Amino acid sequence: MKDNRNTTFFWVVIILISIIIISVYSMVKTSQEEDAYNVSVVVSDSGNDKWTAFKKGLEDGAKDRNVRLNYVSTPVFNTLEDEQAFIDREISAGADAVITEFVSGVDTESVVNDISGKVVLVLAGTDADSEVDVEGKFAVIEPDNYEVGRAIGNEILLRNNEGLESLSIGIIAGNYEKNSIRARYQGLTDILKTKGCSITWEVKNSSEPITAVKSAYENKPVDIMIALDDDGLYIATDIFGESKKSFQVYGVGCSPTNYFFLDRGRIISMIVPDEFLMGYQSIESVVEKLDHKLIPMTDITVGYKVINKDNMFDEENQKYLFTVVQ
Amino acid sequence: MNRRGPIREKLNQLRMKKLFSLYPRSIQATVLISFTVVSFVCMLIMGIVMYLRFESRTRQLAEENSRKLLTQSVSSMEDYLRNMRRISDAMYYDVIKDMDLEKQDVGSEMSLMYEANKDNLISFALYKEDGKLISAAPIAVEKEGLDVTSQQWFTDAINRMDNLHFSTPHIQNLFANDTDYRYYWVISLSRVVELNYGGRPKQGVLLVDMNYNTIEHMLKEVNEASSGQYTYLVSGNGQIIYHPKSQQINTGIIRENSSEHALYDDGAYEETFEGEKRIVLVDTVSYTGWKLISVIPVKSFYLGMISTRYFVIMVVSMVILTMIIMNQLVTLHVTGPLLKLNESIKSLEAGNVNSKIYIGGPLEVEHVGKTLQNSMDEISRLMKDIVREQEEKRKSELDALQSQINPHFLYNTLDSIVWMIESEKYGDAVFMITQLASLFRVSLSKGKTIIPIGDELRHAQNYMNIQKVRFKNSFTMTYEIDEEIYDYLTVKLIVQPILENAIYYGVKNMMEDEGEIILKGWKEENDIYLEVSDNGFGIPEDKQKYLLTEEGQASKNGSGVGLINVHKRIQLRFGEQYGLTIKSVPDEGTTVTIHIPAIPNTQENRDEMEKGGSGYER
Repeated sequence: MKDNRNTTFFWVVIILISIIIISVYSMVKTSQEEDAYNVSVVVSDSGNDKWTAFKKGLEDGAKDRNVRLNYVSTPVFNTLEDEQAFIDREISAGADAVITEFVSGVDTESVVNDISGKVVLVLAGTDADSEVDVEGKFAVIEPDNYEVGRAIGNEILLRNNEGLESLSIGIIAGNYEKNSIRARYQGLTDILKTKGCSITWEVKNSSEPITAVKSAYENKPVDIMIALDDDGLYIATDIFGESKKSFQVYGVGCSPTNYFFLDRGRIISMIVPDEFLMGYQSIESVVEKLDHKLIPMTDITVGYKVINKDNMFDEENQKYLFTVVQ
Repeated sequence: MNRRGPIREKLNQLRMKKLFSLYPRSIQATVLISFTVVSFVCMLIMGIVMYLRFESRTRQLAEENSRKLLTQSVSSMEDYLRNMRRISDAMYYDVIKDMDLEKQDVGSEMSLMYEANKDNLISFALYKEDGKLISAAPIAVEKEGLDVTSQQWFTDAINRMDNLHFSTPHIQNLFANDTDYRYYWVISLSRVVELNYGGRPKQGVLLVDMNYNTIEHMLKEVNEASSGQYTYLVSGNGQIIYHPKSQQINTGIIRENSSEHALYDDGAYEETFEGEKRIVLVDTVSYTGWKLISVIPVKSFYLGMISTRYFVIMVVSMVILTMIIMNQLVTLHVTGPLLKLNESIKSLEAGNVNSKIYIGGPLEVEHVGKTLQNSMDEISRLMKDIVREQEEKRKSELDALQSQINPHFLYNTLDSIVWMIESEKYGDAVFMITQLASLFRVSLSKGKTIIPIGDELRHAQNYMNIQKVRFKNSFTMTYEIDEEIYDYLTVKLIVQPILENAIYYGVKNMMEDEGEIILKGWKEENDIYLEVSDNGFGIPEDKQKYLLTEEGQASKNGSGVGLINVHKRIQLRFGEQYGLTIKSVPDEGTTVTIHIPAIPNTQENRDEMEKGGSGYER
C-alpha cells in the first residue's frame, strides 16, 4: 500500500512538472509572432490594369490569412523560359509558394514538375500541360474557359439573331499557346458553328498583335470583332476608336480600361471572369496546402459574368467590376 | 421485480466495499490526501476565480475601448457628414436660392465651392426636375444617353422632398472621363431645390457626390488598429456601406449579419453568427440613419487571454506542487513517529521478542509508546511466571508418579526378605537388601529426575534381581545392551515398570524356567531404543489399545502405575514423537519399546533438562 502511495505521489509530481513545462513553453510560443508564409505572384506584365481585381483578391486573401505577399514586378513575358527565370528567382529568394499564370501551357510538364517539387504551386487563370498530379502538388484556379468562349458566342447570337451568317467575324485569339485561350476559342467556335458562321480572319500568337490585327482589319474589315483576352479586347476597342466604320466588339476582359470602353459603347458585351475570387482562392489554396502538407490540392473553378453597357452599373455588377476604390 | 431487489442490494454492497477499499487506511495517506485535496480545491477555485475575473475585466476593457473608438468614429463621421450638409446648404441657400437661373450661371459659384472642398468631393451637379443638367463642377461632359431620373439619388430626392438624402456607395455614372478612364465610388447627397427662373419657381435636384474614399479611409484606420475585431458601416435598410471585407462579402466568401444589425438600437449585443460567438456594439450616425457596427469576436478575447491562461495554469500547478511537497513533509513529521511505533509493534508481532517499542516523537505518541512498552514488559513477566508455574506443576506431578512405585514394591520385597530370614536364608536376605539399597540409590539419585542410561539399567537389573529371588527364578532374564548408550541421559525409572509388567502379565504364571525376559538397548542415529520382550501369554488385541490411555491404569499386581505413566513421562519430557510402542501376539509374547532421544550425558544437558527443557536441541 505504501509502495502504491509512493508511486501515485511520484506520478502526480511528474504530471505537475510536465504541466508547468508545457505551459511555460506554450506561453513563450504564443508570445512569439507566428511566422507568415512567403507567397510570390509571377504574372506577365504585372503593371497591366487587367490584374487589378486579381491583385485585390490576392491582397485581401493575404491579409486575411496572414501571408507575406510578393507581387513581383514583371515585364511582358514572351516565353515560358522568361517567366520561369522569374519564378526560380523567387524560389531561391525563399518563397514558400508561387502563384502564376503561365504564358504557355504547351509542353510544360517538366516546368510544373520542377516548380511544384520545390514549392506549393497555383496556376491561376489558365491550365497547363502536366503529368497526372496524384499527390495534388499544385492546383489550377481558373474560370471554365470553354464556357467563357461559349458565353461570348451566345452573346453574339443573342444580339444578331437574324442574318448572322452574312456577318463577317474576326477573332483576336492572342496567345494561342495558353490553354485558356484555346478552350475559349473552342467554346466560341462551337457556338458559331451552330449558326454556320464563317470566320474571316484570326490573329493568333502574333508578336506584334496590334499591327497584325490592324492590318487584318484593314485588309478585311469585319462586322464583329471578338477578343479572347483583355489585351485583345483593348486592341479591338482601339481599332474601333480609329475606324470610320462601326463594328461590334465582344470579348473577355477584366481591366477598368475595357470597362470604360464598354460604358462608352465600344464594346457590346464582355465576359468578365471573377478575377478577385481567383486571387483570393489562390492564397487560400496555398495556405491550406502549407498548413496541411499531406492534404492534396484541388482545382477550383471560379465564375464569370456577362456584362454589357446596360447592366454594368447594377448594384451587384458595379461591386463585381470596380473592386478598388479610387 | 422483487427478485432484483437482493441482487441490487448485493451490487450496492460490492460497490460500497470497493469504495471503502479505495479509501486510504493509513494515517499518512489520509492526512496527505486531505491536505492535498483541500489545497488543490482551494487553488483551483482561486485560479478559476482569478482567471474569470481577469477575463471579464479584459472583456470589459476591450468593450470599453471599442465603444470609445466607435463613438469617436461616429463623431468624426458625423462631422464629415455635417460638413457635407453644410456645403449642400451653402450651395443651395447662399448660391442657388439667390440666383435667377434665366440670367445667371451657377457654374462659376459652383466651381468656387468645389475648389474649396475638393478634397472630400467628387463633384457638384444641379439638375432640372426632368433630369437635364443645369451645371456641374468640375466642368465635365455628361455621358451620352444618360437618364439621371432613373438613378437612385434622383428618385430619393424627388420622392421625399423635405430631406437631404445620403445614398449608399455607388459608382458615379454621370460624366464621361475620357482622359484617365477612371470611375469613382461616391456617396451621393441629394436634395430637391427650388430654382428661380425669372421669378418662376421650378424644382431641381442638387447633387453633391462625396468621395467614398474619405469614409473608407476613415474606417480603414479604425480597423487597422484592432486584431480580430472590426467596425463596419451599414445603412438603415441593411446595405453595407463600408466593410473591411466588403469584397469578400460581395463574392460570397464570407457573410455578414448586416440586415439584422441594421435593426438594432444603439448598445451592446451578444450574438452567434455562423457558429461564432461575438459581441456587437451599435452606434447610430445622425442625419443618415446609418449605423456603425463594431464586431468583437469572443474568440479575440481569448487570443489575448491564451498566454494568461497558460500563466494561470503554470502558477496553479506550481502552487499545487509546492503544496504537495510541503504536505508530504508535514505529514511525514506528524505521522513519522506513529509509523515507527507501528513498525516496532509489527516487528514484535512477528515474534521478534528482543525488539523494543519505539518511544519518541510528539508527547502523545511517546506516551502511547511508553504505556505499550510497560504493558509488554508486564506481559512478558507474566508469561515467564506461567511457564515456571507450569514446570513446577509438572515436576511435582512427576514426583508424585515416581513416589507411587515405592510403597507397593517395598512392601513385597520386605515381605520376601522377612520370609528369607524366617527360613534362615541369610545369604539371600543380604543379597536382597544389597540390591534393594542399590535400587533405592538410583531411585533417589539425589532428587534428580534425569539420570544416565547406565544408572537406569542398573536400577532395572537390581529390580530384576530382587524379583527373580521373589519368584524363585521361575523365569530367565537376558540383557543385550550396547554399551555406547550408557552415557546418554534418560528420565529415570522408565524401564522398571515395563519389566514389572513383563513379570506380572507375562511370565509370572508360566511353568518353571519357561518364562524368558529379554532387555535390549541400542542407538539408532539420534535416538535410543530400549526394548523389553517376554514370551508370556501376550495381551489380547482389544486390551492393547487401552494400554497407553488413561483407561489402562491401576493394575492389581504392579506398582499401580502401568505403562501409561512411563509413556506420559517420556512424552512430557521429550515430546509427542517419543514414548512407548507395544507389540503383542497372544500366546507368543509381548514387546514394549521405549523410544527416547539420544542426549549425551553432560553437566550442561543435565542442568537444562532438570529445569524442564527437553534438551534435544543440543
